[in-house]
Amino acid sequence: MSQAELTRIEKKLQELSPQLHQSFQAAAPALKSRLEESDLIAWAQDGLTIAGPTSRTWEAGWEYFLASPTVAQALTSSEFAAWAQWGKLLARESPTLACSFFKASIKVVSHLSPHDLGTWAQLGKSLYQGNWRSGTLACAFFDASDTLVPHTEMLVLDHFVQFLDKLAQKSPDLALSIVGAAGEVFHEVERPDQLHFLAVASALAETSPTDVKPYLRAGSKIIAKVAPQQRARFLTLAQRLALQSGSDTLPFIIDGSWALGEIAPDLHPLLLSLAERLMALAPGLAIAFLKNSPALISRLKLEDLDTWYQEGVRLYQTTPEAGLAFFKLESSHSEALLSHLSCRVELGQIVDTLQMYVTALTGKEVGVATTDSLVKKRVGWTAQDRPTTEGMSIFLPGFVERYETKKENFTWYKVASTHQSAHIEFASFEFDFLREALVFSNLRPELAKRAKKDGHVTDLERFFDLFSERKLAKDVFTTVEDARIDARVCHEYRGLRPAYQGVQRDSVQERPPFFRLTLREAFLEILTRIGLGSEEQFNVPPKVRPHLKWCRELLSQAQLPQATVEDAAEATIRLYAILLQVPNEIAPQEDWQTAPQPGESEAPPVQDFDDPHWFDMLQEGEGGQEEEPEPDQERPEVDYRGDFKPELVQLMMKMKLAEGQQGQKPGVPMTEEELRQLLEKTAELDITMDLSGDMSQISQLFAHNILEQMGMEKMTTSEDKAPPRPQGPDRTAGEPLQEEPQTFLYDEWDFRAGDYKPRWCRVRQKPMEEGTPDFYKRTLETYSGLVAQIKRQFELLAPEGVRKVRRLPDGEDYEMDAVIEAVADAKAGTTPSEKLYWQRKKVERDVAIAFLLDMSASTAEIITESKRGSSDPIPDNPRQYLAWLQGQRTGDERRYQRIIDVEKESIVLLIKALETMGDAYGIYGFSSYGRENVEFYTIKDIGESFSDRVKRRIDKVSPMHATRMGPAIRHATSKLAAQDAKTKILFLVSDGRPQDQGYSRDGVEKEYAIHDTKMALNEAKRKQITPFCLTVDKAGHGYLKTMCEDMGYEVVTEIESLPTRILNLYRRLAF
Amino acid sequence: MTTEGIRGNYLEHMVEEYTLHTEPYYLPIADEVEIFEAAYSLKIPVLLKGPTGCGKTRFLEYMAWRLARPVTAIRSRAHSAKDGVSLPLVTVACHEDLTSSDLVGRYLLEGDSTRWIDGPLTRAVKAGAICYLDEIVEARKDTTVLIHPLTDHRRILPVEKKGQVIEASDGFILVVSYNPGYQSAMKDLKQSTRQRFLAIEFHYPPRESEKRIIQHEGGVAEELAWELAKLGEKVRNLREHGLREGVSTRLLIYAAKLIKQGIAPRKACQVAITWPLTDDTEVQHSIEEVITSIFE
Repeated sequence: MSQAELTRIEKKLQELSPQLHQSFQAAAPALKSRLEESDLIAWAQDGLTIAGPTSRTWEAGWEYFLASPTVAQALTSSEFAAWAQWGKLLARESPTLACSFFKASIKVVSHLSPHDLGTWAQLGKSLYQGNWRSGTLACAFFDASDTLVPHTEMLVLDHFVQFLDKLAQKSPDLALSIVGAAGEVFHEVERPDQLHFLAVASALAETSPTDVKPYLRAGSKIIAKVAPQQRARFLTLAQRLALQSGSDTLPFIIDGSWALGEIAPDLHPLLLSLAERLMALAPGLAIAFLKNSPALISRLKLEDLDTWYQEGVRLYQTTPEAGLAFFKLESSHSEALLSHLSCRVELGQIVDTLQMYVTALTGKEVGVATTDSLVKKRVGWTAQDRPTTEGMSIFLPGFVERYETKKENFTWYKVASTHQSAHIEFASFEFDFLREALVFSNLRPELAKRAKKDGHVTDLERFFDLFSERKLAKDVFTTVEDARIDARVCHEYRGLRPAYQGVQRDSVQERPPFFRLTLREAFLEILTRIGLGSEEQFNVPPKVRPHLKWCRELLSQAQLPQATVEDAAEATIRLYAILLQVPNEIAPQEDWQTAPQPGESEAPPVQDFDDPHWFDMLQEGEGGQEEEPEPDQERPEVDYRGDFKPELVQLMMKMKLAEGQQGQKPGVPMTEEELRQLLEKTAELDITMDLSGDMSQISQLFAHNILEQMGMEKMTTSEDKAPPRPQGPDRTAGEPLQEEPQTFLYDEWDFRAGDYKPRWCRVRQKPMEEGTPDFYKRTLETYSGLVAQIKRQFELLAPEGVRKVRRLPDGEDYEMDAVIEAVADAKAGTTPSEKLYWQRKKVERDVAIAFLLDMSASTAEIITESKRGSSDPIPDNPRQYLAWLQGQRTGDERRYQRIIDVEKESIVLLIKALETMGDAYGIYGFSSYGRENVEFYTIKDIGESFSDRVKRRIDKVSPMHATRMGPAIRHATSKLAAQDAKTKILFLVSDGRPQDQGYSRDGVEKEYAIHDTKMALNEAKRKQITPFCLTVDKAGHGYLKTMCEDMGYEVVTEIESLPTRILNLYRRLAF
Repeated sequence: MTTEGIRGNYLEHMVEEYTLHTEPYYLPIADEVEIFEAAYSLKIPVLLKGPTGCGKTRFLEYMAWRLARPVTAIRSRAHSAKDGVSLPLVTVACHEDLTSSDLVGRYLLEGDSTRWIDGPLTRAVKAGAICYLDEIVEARKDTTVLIHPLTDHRRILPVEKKGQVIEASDGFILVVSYNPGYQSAMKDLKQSTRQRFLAIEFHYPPRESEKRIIQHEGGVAEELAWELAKLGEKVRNLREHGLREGVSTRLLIYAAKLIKQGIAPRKACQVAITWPLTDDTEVQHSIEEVITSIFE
C-alpha cells in the first residue's frame, strides 16, 4: 500500500511538473534512510500538498523537496514533520513565502534549535499580512535569515521583526531595503547590545523613519567607541531621545559616542548618568552636554565638573533658553564659569598682557599670537604647540594646562614668552659675522680666510658655512645660544628667576635618557641640560670625560652676563672642534656607569687654537667620512624654549629689512629657487609632521610662501606707513594682492537666554576698495548751493568759542554792574556779594563721531527718478528739447537713484561739514552674510586724515548682503572708545530692520536681531558714547522704538531729504 | 613789607625773592647747561620741552642757583647761603583759566578805594628774576600773547590797566616749559609763540644716568637704583602701546624712597609706578609682570 501510495503521489507530481518529480526523486533516497515508511509517505504527501492544486504553484513543492535532505539531516523525524507542517502552513498563505522559507531552511537549520526553528518560521509568517508588499518583506526576511540567524538570538530576532513590521507601516520600501543589510549590523553589534540597539532603531521608526537606515549603517561602528558595559545605557539614552525627538537622535549618537570615545572609559558611567538626568529635563541639554564633555573633562576636575553642571541645571530651571545655551557652551556665563573652575590658561585671555609685557621687555613692537597661526603660513614652522619666534612676533601654544593651578600655568607662559622675547632683546638674530666677541678671542676672521665658500645672504649662513657638518654646528649653536639667553634672563630679571629656574628644572625632568644616543648627540643633550641649570655630574664614558669638562667650561663662559651672540658663535667653533673628537657612536651601556677613578686625569686635551691644522680639521670635518649611525630617537626641543631657528629668522628679517629700505623689491634679490636652496641648507625646516613629500618639495612650498608673505607684508606696510606715491609705474606693476582683512570677534546677545553668546560674530575689517573721485566731485557740484551754506553754517559754529561768564568770585576783571551793586549794598548796610568778577571761559569742541552706513542689499532699492527727469515738463521748443534730451542722456546714471546713492551723497556733504569743524570722525560701511562674515569697510578711519583716497573709496560704496547690526555697532564702539574725546557719537544710518541668517529664530521672528542691536547700542552708551539711529524705512517707528528705547532715533520719510537731515542731526547731536 | 619771614613753622617768601640756598642735585645729560648759560647771557628766552618728571624744573632750579649773580640793589636785602648770591626763580603754573590779570596784576578793593597789586610776571620783570611759566600750553592763547613783548628785543611788559610799560630788569629771563607728549592738537603752542624761544629738549635719562639720579635722590644702593632704572626703561617701552607717557624719573625716585623706607620692592613699585601711571587694568597687569620679572 505504501509503495502504491508513493507511486500515486509520484504520478501526481509528474502531472504537476516533471521538474517537481525529479526533485522528489533526487531527495527520496536520502529521506528513505532517515524516515519510517509512514513518515516518508507523510513527507511525500506534504510535498504534494505544498506543490498545491494548480500547476502554477509547484515551485514551492520543488523547493521543499530540495531542502528536505539537508533539513532532515539536522532534525528528528517528529521535528522534521513539524518543519514540514510549517511549510504547509506557509504555502497555504503564499507559495512564494514558502519557497523562501524552504530555501532559507537549508542554511539556517544547523544554527537553530528545533524549537527555534518554529519560532523562526512564525516570525516570518507574522510579517506576511496577505498582501503583496508584506509578502515581499516576509520573503526578504527568510532570504536574509542565513545572515541574521548566526549572529543573534531568537529574542532579538523577534524584536527585529516587530521593528520591521513597524517600519513597514511607515515605509515598506525602507523596511525592505533594511532587511538585506541587517545581517551585517547584527554581525557588528555585539550580542549584549543588540536589543538596545534595535530599540533605538525601533523608536526611530516611529519618530523619524528616514534616519533608520543611516543609523543602522553607521550606528554599529560608532557605538563601538563607548565602553562595552555602558553601551546599553548609552543606547537607552538614545532611545529616550528618539522617542521624543527623532531627528536629533542620529547626531546625538554620532557626537555622543565620538565624545565618549575621547574620554577614558572609566568616566563613561559618570557622564552617562549626568546625561540621563539632563535627558529627563530636556533632550537638548543632554545632547549638548555629552557633545561638549571631552572639552569639559579635559578642563575640569571632576568635582568642578559637578559645580559647573549644577549651575547649568539651576539656570535651566529658571530660564530654559539660558540653560540650553549654557550646556552648548554658547553663553558667556558658562564660559566664564568654565574658565574660572579650570586651571587651564588660554592665550586668548592673556594675550594683551603678554603682548605689552614683551613690548616692554624688548622695546620693540612685538606681537604675540598662537603658534598655530605661524604654522598655517607654512613658512618653515610646523610644530603647532611649541613657543617660537620669527624675530618680529612671539608665538605661543593656544593654551597651557601643565600645572594644577592657573597661576603656575600663567607663569609657564610668562617664562616661555620671556625666553622668546629675550632672543629679540638680547639680539640672537642680530649676529654679525664681523663683530667681535666680548668673552672669547675671535677665531672667525681666521676661519673666514680659509673658507672655501663665498657669497652669503645672512651672517649666520656665512658662519655655518664654515663648518663641514653644518647640522652639527647649528645644533651646537642653538644649544649654546639658548643657554646664553637663559643665563642672561636669570641675570637681568631676578624677580622672574625663581619661576624661570622652576620651569627649567621641570624641563630637565622631562628630558629623555641619553644612553642610547650616539656620544655626540649625548654630549649635546648633556650640554642642553647644563644650559638648563642641571647640576647633575653626568657620568660619561671614561674616554670622553676630559672632553666633557672642556665643554662645560666653554658653555659657562658663553653664559656670562656680558656674553653676546658672537660669543655663542665663538663657543660654537670650539665646541664643534671638541665634538669632532668625540666618536660618533653609541657607547656600551656599562661605559656610562663606570665612576671616575680617583687618580684619573680630567685635564682637558690641550688645544692649540693657533695651530693651522686645527682650522683645517674644522673645515674638512675629520669625522665626515664615517657613516653616521642613526640615533634611536631625535632629541626633542626643550618645551618652554620651543623652536629656535636662528638662520631662517635672520634670513626672513634680512629680506624684510631690505624691503623696508628699498620700498618695492626685496632688497636681497632672490628667486624662489635660490631661496629654496637656502632653506634646505639651513637644516631648520621640520619635515616631519603633517607634510608629506620630499625635502625639495617642502622647501619649495616654504620658499614660495615666504616670498608671498614678504609681498603681502610689503603691501601692508606701504599702505600703513608711507603715504601713497603718486601714480608711479611701479605701483601698477605686479599683481595687487587682496589685503587680508583684520578680524575681530564679538559676543552676541541672546535675549532669550539672557546672556551673551561668546565670540559669536567675526567682524572682518578692511579698507573700502578705491574707485574714482568722480562721485565725490559730482555730488559737490550737484549740491553746490547747499555746500556753500553748510560751510557758512558750520564755520559759525566753529570751535574756540569764548563765553563771558559773569558774577564769579574770581576772574579776569570786575564786573561793573556787580561792583556798583556791591558798593550800594555796602552803603546800605547789607552784606555785599563777593561775586564781583567776570571771566572768559573757553568753549572747547572735543567731538569724535563715527558714521555707520548700512550697505545691505536692500539699499539697492530705487527710490526716485531724478528731479530733472520727472518734474521738468518736456519742452516744446525743438532747441530746448534737444538740450533736454542731452541732459536726459548725460544724467542717465543719476536718473534712478538708489537708497545707497543718497546715503553716499549724505556722506560727501557730511565730510564737507566735518572738515570745517575739525571734529575727529570716521565713516564705515557694514554688511554681513552670517555670523562668520560681518564685513566692516573703512571708508575713512577716525585717525585717518581726509584725502583723495577717501573720495575714491566713497565711489565704491555699494549694496552688498544682509544687515547684522550688532557686531558692526560693537566694532564701531570699540573704535570710538579708543578715542579721547569728551563727546563721542555713534551715528547709524540704515534702511530697515536688522536681519541676517541666524539672526532670528527660524528666520521668522525678528525679536532676536532687534534685541541684539539694542544691546549693542546700550553697550555703546555705557561707554559714554551717544548712539543715534537714522532710518529711511517708513515702517521704522515700530522696531526703532524697541531698539532705541531711550536713545535718539529718527525716521526720514522723504529720502531725498536725507543729506540735509543728517547735517541737521549732526548739529543737534554734536553741539 | 617783610621779604621773608618765619611764621609758625613754615617759611614764607615773596615770589620774586624766592631763591635757592643750596645746590640742587642735577646730573647733566648732554650740553644743556652750557646752552642755557649762553642763552641767559644773551637774554634769549628758553623753551624746555620734555615729558613729565624728566627733570625740567630741577634743571631750572639748578641753573637759577648756578647763574646766581653778584649782589644787586634788590638782592642785597635778601640773604642767601651762597654769600648772598642768588637768582630768584618765579614759577607760575599755567592752567586754562589763567588770565592776563593773574600774570600782570590787578586792582583790589580796599575800603572804598582800589589798590594795584603786581602779578608774578610783573614782579619777576621788576626784580630781574627767572620767570618760569610751567606747562605754558595749558594757558589760554590770549594770555600767551601777553608774553610776546617780553620775549623779543623789546623786553618790555605793557601793563594795560595802569597804562604803563615796564622795562625788564637785567637779570630777567623768561623760561617756559611744555610737554609735547600729551597735548591734543587743540592745545599745541602757536607758532608765533614757539618761535620766540630757544628750545632745549629733555628726555628721560639713559639707564646709567638715571641710575645715578635715583641712587642720589632716593638714597638707595647702586644695585637697587640700577634695577629701578631698568624698570623705567622697560615701562617706557610701552609708550604708545597702552601708556601715554613713560614712567617719570620722579616716580622711580619715589619708588626708591619707599623701598628705602622698608616697603617691599614689588609693593613699592605698584604704588609708585603701576597705579599712578594708568587706570587701565590690562596695562596694569603688564606692568606688574615686568615688575615681578625684575624684582623678587
